[in-house]
Amino acid sequence: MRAGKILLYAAAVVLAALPVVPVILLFFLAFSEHPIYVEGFTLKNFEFLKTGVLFSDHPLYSRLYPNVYTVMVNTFLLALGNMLLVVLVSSMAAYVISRYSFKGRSALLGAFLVIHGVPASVLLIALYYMLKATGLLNTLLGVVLVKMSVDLPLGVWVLKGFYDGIPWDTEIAALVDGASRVGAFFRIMLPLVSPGLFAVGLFSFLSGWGEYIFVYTFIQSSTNWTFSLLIQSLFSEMGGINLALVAALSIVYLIPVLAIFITGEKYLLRVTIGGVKG
Amino acid sequence: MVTVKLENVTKIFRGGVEAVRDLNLEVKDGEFLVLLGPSGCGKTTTLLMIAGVYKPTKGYIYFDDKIVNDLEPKDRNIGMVFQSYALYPHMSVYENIAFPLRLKKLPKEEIDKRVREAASMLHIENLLDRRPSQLSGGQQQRVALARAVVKQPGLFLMDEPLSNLDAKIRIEVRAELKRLQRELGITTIYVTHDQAEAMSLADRIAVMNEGRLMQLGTPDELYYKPANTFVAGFIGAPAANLVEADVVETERGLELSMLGTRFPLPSDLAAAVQGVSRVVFMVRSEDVKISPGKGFFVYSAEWLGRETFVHIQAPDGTLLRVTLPPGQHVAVGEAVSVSFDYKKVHLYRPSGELIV
Ligand SMILES: Nc1ncnc2c1ncn2[C@@H]1O[C@H](COP(=O)(O)OP(=O)(O)OP(=O)(O)O)[C@@H](O)[C@H]1O
Ligand SMILES: [Mg+2]
Repeated sequence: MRAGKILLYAAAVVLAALPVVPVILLFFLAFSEHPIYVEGFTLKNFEFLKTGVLFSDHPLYSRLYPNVYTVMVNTFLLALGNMLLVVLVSSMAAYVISRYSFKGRSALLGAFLVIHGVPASVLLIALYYMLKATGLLNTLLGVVLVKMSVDLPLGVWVLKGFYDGIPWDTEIAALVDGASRVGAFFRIMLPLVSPGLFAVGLFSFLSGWGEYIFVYTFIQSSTNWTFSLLIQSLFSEMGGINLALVAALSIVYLIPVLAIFITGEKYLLRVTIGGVKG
Repeated sequence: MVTVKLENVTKIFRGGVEAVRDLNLEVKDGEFLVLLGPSGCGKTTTLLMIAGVYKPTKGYIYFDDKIVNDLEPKDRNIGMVFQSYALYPHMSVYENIAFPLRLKKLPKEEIDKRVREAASMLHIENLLDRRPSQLSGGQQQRVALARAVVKQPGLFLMDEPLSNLDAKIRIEVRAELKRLQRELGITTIYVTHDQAEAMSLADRIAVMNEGRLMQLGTPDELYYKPANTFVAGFIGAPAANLVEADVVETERGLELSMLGTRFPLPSDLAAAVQGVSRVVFMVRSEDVKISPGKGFFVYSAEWLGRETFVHIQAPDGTLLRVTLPPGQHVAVGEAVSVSFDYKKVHLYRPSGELIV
C-alpha cells in the first residue's frame, strides 16, 4: 500500500519533470563556454544582444545572417498581425454565426472544422501560387494573411461558444433599453465575451510567434526572417554548429512567451471554453 | 401613456411553426393586461412582436394610432422585464439602471438623479455598487424593474417576471409590481402561465392557446362566464368539472345523460339546448352540492383549512371535483347523491363553444 503510493508519486514526479528537462538543458547550454557541451559559465553567447549582429568576429558568416533585432521585430509583427486579424474577424464572424440563422450556416460550421483539420503543409503549393499571383510572396503581410486564415476557424469556433452562452434575453434587454443591434454588440456582447477574446488573442499571438512552415516556404530574403527560421538556419549551417548560440537565441525567443503566460495566467484560468463563470 | 392594438397578427417562424395566429387585442391606456396560457402557446412571441424584436408575418401592431411594425425596439420607448432578469453581468447595479439613460445621452446629473429615484422606488439604494451576481433573485428582479422604470416608458412588457422567485418573495415582488404600475399608470402587458397570478394582477386577461386568443375579459368574466371549454378548464383552482353529456328527451322534459345517470334540466337550460344532442357540461367544484344519498361515493377528501376538497366517484367511474362549504364533512367511502347549482352551470358544444 505504502510502497504503491511512493511509486505513484515517483512516477508523477518523473512525468512532471520530463517537459522541464529540455528547458533546463537549453538554459545551461545558453550560458556554456563550450559551443556543444554544457561547460562553465559565460555571457558571451548573448553578445549579439549588444548590436544584433551575429558572428560579429567572423565577417564572412556575419553577412549571411540578418540583424537579430530585425528578426525580433518581424516575429513580433507576424504574431501581432495574426492576433489582431484573428480577433477582429472571429469576434464578428462568431457573433453572426451564433445569432443569425442563414442558408448554409451549418455547412459553414462543418467546413470550419474540416479546414481546421487539414494539415497546413498540404496547402503550401496552392498558397505559394496565390501569394505569387498577388505579389505577396516574400512579404510578412502575405504570411500574416495565410496564418490568419489558418487560425481563424478555431477562433470562430471558440468564440461562437462564448456568444452561445449569452442568453437571448440579455441582448433583447439591450435592444429594448435603446441600443441598436450594433450598439448592443459593442456595449453588451463584446464585453461579455472578453475572456474569450483574450484567450483567442493570446493563442493566435503565440501561434504567430512560433510559426515556422509558412515563413520557411514563403519568405526568401533574410531581412524578412523570423526567429524560428533564424534558429533553423543556424542548425543546418555548415562550418561548425554553435549549439550554445542557438540555445541563447532560443532563450531570447522564449522570454516573451513566458512573460505572456505569467501575466495572463490569472485571467486565462477563469476561461473555460464556452463561457466564463461569474 | 400608450394604447396598444394588435390587428390580425400572425407569426410564422422559419420552418413553419405558427406561433401566433390571427390575434386581435386592444390594450387600453394605463391598463394592466395579462397574457395567460399554457407553455408554448405563443405568449412570449406576442410580447416580442410588441417589443419589436420579431416582426409579425401578417397583421399590424399599433401604438396609439401609429402602425409600428417596422419600428426598431429602441425607438418604441418600452420597459421590459424578463423571467431571467437579463441584467448585464459586467456592469454594477447602478450602471445597469443607468444604461437606458446613457443610451439617451442624458446629462450626468440627470442620470444620477433618476437612477437614485428608481432605486429608492424599489428599495435597492443600498445595492447600487454591487454586481448582479452578488444579488439574490428577488433583488435582481427589483433591479430589473428599476431599469425598466428609469426610462419612464410608455409601455411595460413583462415575461413571467416572477417565475424564478420562491413563493414568499414572489408575493412580495408581485405586490411591489402592482403598486408601481398603479402609481405610474403605465400601460402594462404581463405574460404568465400561472392563473392565480393573472387573476390577482390583471385588469383584463387574454387567455391564449395554441397561438390563438381564446377569451379576453376581466378576471370575473373569465371565471363566471368562460367562453369555451378551454378557458373553463384553465381558469380556476381547483379546475372546473367538464363532463360530456347526451341530451335526451323524456316525458318530463330534457335530461342530461352523464356520469352513468340522468339529471333533469331546468327549463331555461332546456330551452337553450333544444335540438342539440351532445353537450359538455361545466360546473365549478363549489357549485356541486352533495347530500347523504346513493349512487355516488366519496373517493378522497382533503381538508384545506376552511373548506374540504373532495373527489366524488360517479356511477360510471368519473371523478368529480367538489369543494364542500365550511362545516360540511364527509367520510371517504360514504354514499352520497349529487346536485348542481344550475344558475352557475354552463353548457358547451362538443367543439368547445359556449351554448349557455
Ligand atoms: N425563434 C423561434 N423559432 C422557431 N420557433 C419558435 C421560436 N420561438 C418560439 N417558437 C415556437 O413558437 C411557439 C410559441 O413559443 P413561445 O415562446 O411564444 O411560447 P410561450 O407561450 O412563451 O411559452 P412558455 O410559457 O413556455 O414561455 C412554440 O411552439 C415555440 O417552439
Ligand atoms: Mg415564454
